[in-house]
Amino acid sequence: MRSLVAPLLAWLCVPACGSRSPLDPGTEQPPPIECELDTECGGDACSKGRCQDGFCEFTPVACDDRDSCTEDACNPSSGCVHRPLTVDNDGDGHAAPLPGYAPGEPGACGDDCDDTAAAARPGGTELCDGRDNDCNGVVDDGAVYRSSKTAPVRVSSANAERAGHGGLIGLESGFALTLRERNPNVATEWETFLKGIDEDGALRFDSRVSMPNVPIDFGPLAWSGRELVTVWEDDRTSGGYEIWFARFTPDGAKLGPDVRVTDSAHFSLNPSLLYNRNEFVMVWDDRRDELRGMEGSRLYGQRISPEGDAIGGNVLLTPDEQGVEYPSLAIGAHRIGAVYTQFVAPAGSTLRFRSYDAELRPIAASESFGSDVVDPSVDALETGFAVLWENYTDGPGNVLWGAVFDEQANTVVAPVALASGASRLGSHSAISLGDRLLVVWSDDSSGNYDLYWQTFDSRLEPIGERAAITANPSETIRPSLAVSASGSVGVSYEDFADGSKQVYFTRLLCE
Amino acid sequence: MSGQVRSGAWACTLLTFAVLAFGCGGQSAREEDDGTGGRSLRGGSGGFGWAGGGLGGRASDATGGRLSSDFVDPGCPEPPAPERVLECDPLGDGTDCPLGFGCYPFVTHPPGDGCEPRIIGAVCRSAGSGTQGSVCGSGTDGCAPGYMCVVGLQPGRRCAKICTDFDDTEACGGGLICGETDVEGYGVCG
Repeated sequence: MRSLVAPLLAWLCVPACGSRSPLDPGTEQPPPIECELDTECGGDACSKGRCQDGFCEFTPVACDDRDSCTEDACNPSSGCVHRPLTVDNDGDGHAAPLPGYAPGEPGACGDDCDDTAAAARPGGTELCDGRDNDCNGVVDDGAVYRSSKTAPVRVSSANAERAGHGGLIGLESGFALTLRERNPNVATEWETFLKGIDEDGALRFDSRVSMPNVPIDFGPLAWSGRELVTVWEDDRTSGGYEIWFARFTPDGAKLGPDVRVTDSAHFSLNPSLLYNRNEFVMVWDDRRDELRGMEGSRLYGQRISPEGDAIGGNVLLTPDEQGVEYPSLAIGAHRIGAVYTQFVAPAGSTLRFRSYDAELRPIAASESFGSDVVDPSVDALETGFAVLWENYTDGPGNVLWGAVFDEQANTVVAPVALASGASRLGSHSAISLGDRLLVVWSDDSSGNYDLYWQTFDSRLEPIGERAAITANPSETIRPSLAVSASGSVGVSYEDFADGSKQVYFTRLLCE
Repeated sequence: MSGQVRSGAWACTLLTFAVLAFGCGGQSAREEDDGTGGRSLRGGSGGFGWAGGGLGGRASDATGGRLSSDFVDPGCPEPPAPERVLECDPLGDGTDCPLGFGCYPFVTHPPGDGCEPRIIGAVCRSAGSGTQGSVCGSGTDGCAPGYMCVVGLQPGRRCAKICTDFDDTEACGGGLICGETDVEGYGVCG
C-alpha cells in the first residue's frame, strides 16, 4: 500500500486541477490539449485520458491494492505494480519479516524465522540441523550434545609460524572461519584467510581476505543465506585503524573489493557483526570524537544491504557515553541487543546493555553492571538477551558471569556465575538454541587451560554437568562456536600443542 | 549461527597506545608534555614523524563519517619489511636509557594512501610506574619500564608486561600468556 504513484499524480494533476498559488513555484504546466473525442487524448496504463468540455483530462490509475505488505507503483506501459516489501530469499515459500517485527506477527509481512535456510519455515519438521525448522523459537528441540571422539584437526596452515582466529560460522556444508597466520616469508609477515572446512575439519577452500600486500586483522563472520561477510580493522591507510568489510560466496570466492566503513580520526576497533534477517549490521568502538575533546571511544554502527551497499552513514550509537568499547550484537524478536564495556578511570570497567530498533535508533538501556569486566557477549534467547562476561584485574579472573535482559533492557535474570572454581578463567563463546544457551569457555581447573562446555536454560540454569572438550597438557584458549546444517556444533580454538599457537577445530555432536 | 572469538585476556593483536598517540598527530599537549613511559612518542623520539603531521583536521561530524567508496589499491609496490629503529632494548637492564627513563616499543602506521612502511622500534621515554592492568594514557602515570601501554587487553588503556617469546606459555607466569601486539616482535602478557 506504500504508494510510489503520488508524486507522479501530483504532476499529472496540475493542468486539470485549476489554479495554483502565485507563491507556488510548482512545475511548468503543459499546455491544455484540445479534443473532441476521448480517443484523441490517449494516455497510458497509469493515466487514462478522456475528452471533457473540449479538453483532455487525465485520470490517474489508482494502484492501491490495500495490501500493507506491498509497495504500489505504476508502470506507464504495464500498469500497476505491487512489489512485496519482503521477499523469500531461501525459496521455501515464506518471506522474512520486516525489520523490527517478529516472524508472523501482524504487520510483519513475513513469517519465516530463518530466511537463510529453506529447511526452516513455519510448519517445518524439526531436525537436528542447527535450525529452527518449525519456527517455534527453538533450535533442534530437545537435542543433546556429546563431544566428538575424533582428534581435533589443525586448521591453520602447516607453514604458519603462529596463528589466531576470528569468527566461525556454520554453512549449509561445513563451516567457515577467519584466521590470521604469521608467515615470515611474506613482507607483511601476517596473512589473513577465510577458510572453509567440512564437518570433520578438512579444508574445503582457502581464500585471502584482503590483498596480499595489505596486512589486516581478522574479524567476525555473518551469513545471509547467500553471502558471507566479514568485517575487520586494519591500518593500511591514513595512519590509523579503520573498519573494513568484504563479501564472499559460500565457496570462498571474494565478491568485489574491500569496502571501507569508517574514515575517521583516531582508531576504530573491535567490530561486531550480525545479519538481522534483512541486512547486515556492524558496530564498533570509535575514537573519532577524541579530537573534539571527548575522552575515550564511543560506539558507531553501519547498516549494509545484502548486496553490500551502505544503508545510510555511520550512526553514533552511544551519544551520551564515553569510554565504551568491545560491542557485541544479537538480533531478538523485535530489537537488536548490544552489550559493551564502559570504562571510567579510576573506577574501572562495567557493562551496559542497550536495545536498538532496526534503524539503529536507541530503544532502552540498562544500568551499568559488573566490575572489572572483559569479554562481553550477547545472544538472543526466548526470554531475552543473554549477556555473558568475565573479569580481569592483573590477569584473567575465575568466574564466567551471565545475565538476561528483555528488549526494554529490564533485568530478567540478575547476574549469576555460570562457571567458577578454577584459578583462572578466560575467553568464552556461546550460541543460542532459543530455549537453551550452549557455552564453551577456557579455564585452568585441570592445571592448565582447557576447554569446557555446558548448556543452560533460558534463565541460565545449568542443564546437566559441564564437560571437557579438550584435555591436553598444552594451553587451550579462545574458543568460538557455530552450528552447521548437520546439527553439530563446531568449536574452533587456539592451542599450543604443536609448540606454537595454532588454530584447531573439533565439534560437539547432536543427538 | 556463528560465534565470534571475544577479545579480552587473549586478544590476538593488542595495539599500542603509543601508536594511538603518535599516529594521530594532533594529540593534546598534555600527553606530549607529560611524556611518561609508554605513552606519546611525539616530540623527543626524533625522526619518526611524517610530513603532514598525521590526521589533524579529519574529524567527521557527529553523525559519523561517510561509508567510503570501495578501497582503491594505490598501486603500492610490495611493501618492504617494517623499518626498525631500536634505540634501546625494552627487556634490557635499562642501562641503555638515561636515568629516570625506560625503553618502550612503538609503531607508526602508514600515513596517507598507505604505501609507506611501518616503522617499528623502541625508544627511551620518561619512566612511569604502572604495572600489569594499571590504567595508562592521558592524564595518568605511564607504565613502568618493562611494561607498555596497550588497548585491547581490558577496557581502556592498560599497562601490560612486555614479552617476546610467543611460544612459551610459561614465560609470563600467573596464568598469563604472551600475545602479539602491533609492534611486531613485541608482545604483552595477557
